[in-house]
Amino acid sequence: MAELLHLNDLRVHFKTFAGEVQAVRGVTFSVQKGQVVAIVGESGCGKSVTAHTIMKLIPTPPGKIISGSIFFDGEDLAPKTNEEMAKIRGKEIGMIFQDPMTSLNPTLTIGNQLGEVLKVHQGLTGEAVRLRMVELLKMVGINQPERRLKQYPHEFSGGMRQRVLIAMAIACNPKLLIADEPTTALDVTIQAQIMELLKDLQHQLQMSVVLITHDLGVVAGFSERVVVMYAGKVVEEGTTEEVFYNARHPYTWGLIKSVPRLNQDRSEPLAPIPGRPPDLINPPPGCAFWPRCGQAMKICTLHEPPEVVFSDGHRVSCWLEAEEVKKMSVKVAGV
Amino acid sequence: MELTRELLQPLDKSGTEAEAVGKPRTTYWQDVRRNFRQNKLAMFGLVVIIVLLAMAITGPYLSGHTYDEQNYQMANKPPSSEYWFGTDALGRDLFTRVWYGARISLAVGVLTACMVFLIGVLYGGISGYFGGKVDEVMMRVVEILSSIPFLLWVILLMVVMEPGLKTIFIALGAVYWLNMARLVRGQVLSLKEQEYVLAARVLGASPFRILIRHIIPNTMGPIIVAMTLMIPEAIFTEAWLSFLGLGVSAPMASWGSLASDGVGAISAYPWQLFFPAIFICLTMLAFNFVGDGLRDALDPRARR
Amino acid sequence: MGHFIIRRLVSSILALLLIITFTFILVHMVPGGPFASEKQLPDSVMRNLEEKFHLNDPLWLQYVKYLGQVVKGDLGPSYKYENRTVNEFIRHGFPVSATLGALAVAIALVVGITLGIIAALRQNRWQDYLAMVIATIGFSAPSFIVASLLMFLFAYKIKIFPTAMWGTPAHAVLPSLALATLPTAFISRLIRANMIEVLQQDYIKTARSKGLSERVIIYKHALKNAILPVVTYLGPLIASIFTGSFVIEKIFAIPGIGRDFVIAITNRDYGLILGLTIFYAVFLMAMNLIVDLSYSLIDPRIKLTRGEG
Repeated sequence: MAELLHLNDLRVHFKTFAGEVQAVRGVTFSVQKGQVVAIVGESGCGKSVTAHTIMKLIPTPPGKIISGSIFFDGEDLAPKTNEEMAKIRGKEIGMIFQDPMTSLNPTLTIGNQLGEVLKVHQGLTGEAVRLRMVELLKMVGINQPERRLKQYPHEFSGGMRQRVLIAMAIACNPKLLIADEPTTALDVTIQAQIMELLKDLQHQLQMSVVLITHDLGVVAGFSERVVVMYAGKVVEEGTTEEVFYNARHPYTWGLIKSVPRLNQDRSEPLAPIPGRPPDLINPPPGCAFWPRCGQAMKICTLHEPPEVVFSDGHRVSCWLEAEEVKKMSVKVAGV
Repeated sequence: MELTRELLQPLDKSGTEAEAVGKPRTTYWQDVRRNFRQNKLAMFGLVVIIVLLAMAITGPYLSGHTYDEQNYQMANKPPSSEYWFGTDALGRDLFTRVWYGARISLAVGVLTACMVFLIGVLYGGISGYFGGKVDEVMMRVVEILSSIPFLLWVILLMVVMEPGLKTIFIALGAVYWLNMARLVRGQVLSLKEQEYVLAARVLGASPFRILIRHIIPNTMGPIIVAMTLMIPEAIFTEAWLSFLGLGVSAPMASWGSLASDGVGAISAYPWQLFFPAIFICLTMLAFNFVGDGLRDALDPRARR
Repeated sequence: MGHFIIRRLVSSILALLLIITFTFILVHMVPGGPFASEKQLPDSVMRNLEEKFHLNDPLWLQYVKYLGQVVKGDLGPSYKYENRTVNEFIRHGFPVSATLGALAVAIALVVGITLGIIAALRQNRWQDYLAMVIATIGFSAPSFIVASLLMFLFAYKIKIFPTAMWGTPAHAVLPSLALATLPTAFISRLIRANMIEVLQQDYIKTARSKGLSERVIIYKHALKNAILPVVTYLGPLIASIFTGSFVIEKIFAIPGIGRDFVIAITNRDYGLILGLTIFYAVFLMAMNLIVDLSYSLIDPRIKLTRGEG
């Protein structure tokens, strides 16, 4: 498989009233062609900022890419201007957002909003636009597309709006689709439908998908790889299988434990992770997770953990997995 | 880095709360104060208001002339060392009259705002608190009244009642309370079913804490802002009424009546308009800046 | 939709009745009756007047008679100018006031919207500061001061416009500018705030993510949403311009109903005050109603919510 997207040590800061928020602190991962990669983590962990940064959609100022690169199809997007990015957005990379209720322009018809992507990027006009729009709406499972095109967003339900937004994002057959918590704002039943739709479309169009979510349940049946982010950093990454069944980072354990399972003993309570993520204006030294970590050691408070790579590209940043620490632990245990 | 056993000791975190990590949180009012202080325009407005108030109190005594002392020999004189702002058509000292007018104008603004606040809180509070039919009827009344062009109301009341300061308060209060009543009612209604209040209660916050941390910041903000912005509006309307000949009557003076006297003399004695006009504008600006600054500072969404 | 119109109509009619009743009561509450100041009038003349204006009838009968007249569109006589009715004053003055008002509304909309957009798009740059300084000054100066300054500068110092009166287009320039100042300031602030807020909306992000150019995003996606709320302000705008015209018409000696109204106040001509107040109230409330209804036609969202309600 060829690499489509590669983020290298990406750092994004936001200037705010209280100080500079280090929202993304050196994120590295890649996405192969046709691959689905999920980025998971709590709110505020930087996953959404990462997604927006790939599209260069962070408002600048206050946001700023401090360093790092975003290689997409062999080209670094980080230094590109807004005008250059406009040619990539919607055409090479499509994106869907969290809240379909507010993501469509309330004063323009669906057809108007969907058609403009086709006109801008594919130079379609007149009847060709209409035919393609009908085809797109059918693809995303909207009935009576002809009639629907003339309607305004308020005439659509949340799930239907998200379908329209998906249709816009895939209108130009993008190589990459970024889905930023596409189901968070929807009802549970609708969530499943939207995820099914995304799966189908990914299959049909053979596009790569970066799926941002805080819901591990959404990840399981869809993505090949999982990137776990915490406090602006990747703490663990691996195949979905590895991360789910062989998680190495205490934070990932916590995430997995906090998801309800059908086969769970009812008397066993769900275990949320205590505490909350650190303030990213003054991130603490050492591992950002130690205050909430059950296995924290003295060293975690002082030094940043190294990244340890296992087979299959499974990597984790935790002192528990560090080679030296493991050796020492054996010794300690042996004494 | 030397890896030592000591570094690998498990942390004893008992006693330390996970939540305690992170920067110390500032309280709401500290935030408000800081936000407000950082707003240069608002601080400028505050300083201007303080200076104006100080001058309104002391100004009439500074020049050695009284506000109604006439001197026909000295009529229509431009500013000089004797008459700092010049004199009017009756030879009265404009400096004294401007600061005397400041008292009237500021009093009109502040007292109107207070009156509107009282009526608004009573009416809106009752309407919002009881809800249901009472609310519906009371709000329909407000709706109907507010479809009447309010300046016509003021004019009518002023025409019919005895001219004077009291009438101005009554007339302005009688029209401006409508918006305040709506605002207060909205706040009361939203409070009654506010999820964060419920949430705070469920979390075991004491009623006092709920009041301090949640209710007051979230309701008083808009009301304080509305009151601050009411002051310049009342001053403005009073000036307008004065121009129509419905303001305070001579020898009393407000900025509005001084400016409207000045309008007639604009081509020959421009200072007679210039000084009162400047202070009306300054006051407008100052209160609007403070009001806007307060609104921004009080808005919990704008924190950080 | 129909429900909404009916509700608004009923509200307006009630308000109107309230105005007529209140104005009637107020005017008749005046100490000594409406002719109190005419002390020099001989008793016979006084009696004639009272006869003519039904002042000898009991108050309720006067009220019923007056109401009947008003419904027929007769706003009654002036109490000061013999043989002139309020309707005549309106016939002469209203076209003038309406022209002036329409000019001011046009200036306020065009200049206000333009300034607001420029300020929003150049947020925190010099264009923004300049536009907002202009708006703030306009916001803080009473219209009679603006009018006097304009007159002082452009009629006395630089003699490019006539000082007063009405007739040629040149006569309209200064008064309509003075009248438009406050609403222009208000609209530009409103548009700026709306525009800045709209540009932060999710659908603007969606538009960006579709690869649209900044120009399309601003003019197609943001502008309409930022301007729409101004329509709701049109009602109060028209009201403020028409009540503002009292002052402006007085200063520039323009023969509109605004000036008539001010003169009526000065003369305590209660017949004219009563009649003109009712006329203004009907006119402004009708404008408000039209504006509200047209807003629900323009904004696709309103149509539905109101229609369901």
